[in-house]
Amino acid sequence: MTKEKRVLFLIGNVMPDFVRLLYLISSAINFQSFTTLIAVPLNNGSHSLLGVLAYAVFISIFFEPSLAFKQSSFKVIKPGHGPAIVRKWQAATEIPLFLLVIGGVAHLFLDTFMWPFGGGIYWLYPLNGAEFLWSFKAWWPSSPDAIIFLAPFFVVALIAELVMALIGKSKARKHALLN
Amino acid sequence: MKTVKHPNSLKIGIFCAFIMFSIFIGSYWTFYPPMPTRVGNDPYNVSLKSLVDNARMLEGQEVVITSTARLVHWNASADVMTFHVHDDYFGITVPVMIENWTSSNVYPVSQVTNGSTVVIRGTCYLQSKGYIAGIELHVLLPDLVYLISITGLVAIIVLLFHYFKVDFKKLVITRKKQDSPEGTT
Repeated sequence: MTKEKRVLFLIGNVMPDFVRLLYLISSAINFQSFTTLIAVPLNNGSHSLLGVLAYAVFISIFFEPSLAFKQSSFKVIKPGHGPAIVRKWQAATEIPLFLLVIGGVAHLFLDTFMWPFGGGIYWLYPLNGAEFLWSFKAWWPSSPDAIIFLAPFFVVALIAELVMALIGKSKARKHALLN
Repeated sequence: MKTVKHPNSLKIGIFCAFIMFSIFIGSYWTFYPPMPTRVGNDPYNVSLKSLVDNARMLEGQEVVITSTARLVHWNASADVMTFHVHDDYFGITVPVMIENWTSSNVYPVSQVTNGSTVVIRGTCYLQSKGYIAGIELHVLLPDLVYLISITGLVAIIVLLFHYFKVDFKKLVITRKKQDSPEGTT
C-alpha cells in the first residue's frame, strides 16, 4: 500500500473523532446546550457504520482525483496477479472511499474493546437498544488502561511503517545504482 | 443558459443529511430517552435524566451512570465517600454514596475531586433512600484523552501535508509529483 493510501487509512481511522473538536470548543466556552444538543449527538452518529460511511463519502471528495489509477509501490503480489480475492482487494484499495471506510471501521472495532459506559458504540445506529450496544468489555473509556492496551497496536504500526520506509530506501538505492 | 450539476453535490447532500439526522435524533433521545434496557445481567446503562424518569422501574437494580462529581466528601473514619452527580442541562442532581471506599476502590481519594468525570456502577435506591449505593467507580480522564486525540490529529495533518499538495482554491487535494522512482520515501 502506498504512503498516500496509508495516510487515507489513517484519516479514516481518526475520522469518527473529528467531531470531538466540538467538545473542546464547547467545554472551552462552557456552552452546555451546544454539548448536549450538537456535540454529543454528532459524536454518537459518527461512531457507527452509517456515520463512517457518511463521513467517508464527504471526505473522499477531496481525494478522488489523486488516487485513481495509482499503483502500489509496496507489492507483495503484482497487480493483476494472484488469487481473485487479492486482485479485488488491490482494486478496492485504489478507491479513497474504501480506504476511509476501512479506517473508520477499524476505529469502531478498537472502540468496541471499551466497556460500553460513557457512551458506547452503536454499530447499527440509529438502533439504540441495549442489545445493539456491543462491547468486548476489555477496558474503561478515557482511562489510562486504554492507552496501555492500545500502545502495542501503535508500536506494531510504527515498526511496519519503518520497515516499509527502509525497504523503499533500499529499492531507491538499487535503482540509482542501476542507472 | 446551461447549468452544470456538480458531481459532488450528491455526496455533500448525503453528508449534510446525515449531520442533520444525527443532531435531530440525538436531541430527541436527550429529551425523550429510550426506556432503559439491558442484556442478561449487565447493569442498566442510563443517563441521569433516564435514571430519574425511570426511578421506580430501576429501584433496586444495578445501574451505570457517567457524570460529573460535585460536593465530594470522604469520611475517613467511616470510610464512606459521598458526592453528587449533576446534569447541568436538565438541572438534575443525584447523590451517590460508596461505603468501604478504601477496600472497594483502587482510586486514591485525591483523584475524585469536584468536577471529575466519573463512571459509577451501583444499586439504584432513589425511591426508597434517595441515593445510588455505589459499588464501583472509575475516574475518566477526558483532558488526557483530548490531548492524545489532538496530538494524533496534528500528526495526521502533518502527514497529509507531507504526502499531498493541497490546493485550497479548488478545495482539491492532489498527489505531489514524484521525482524519485516509486517506493522511495
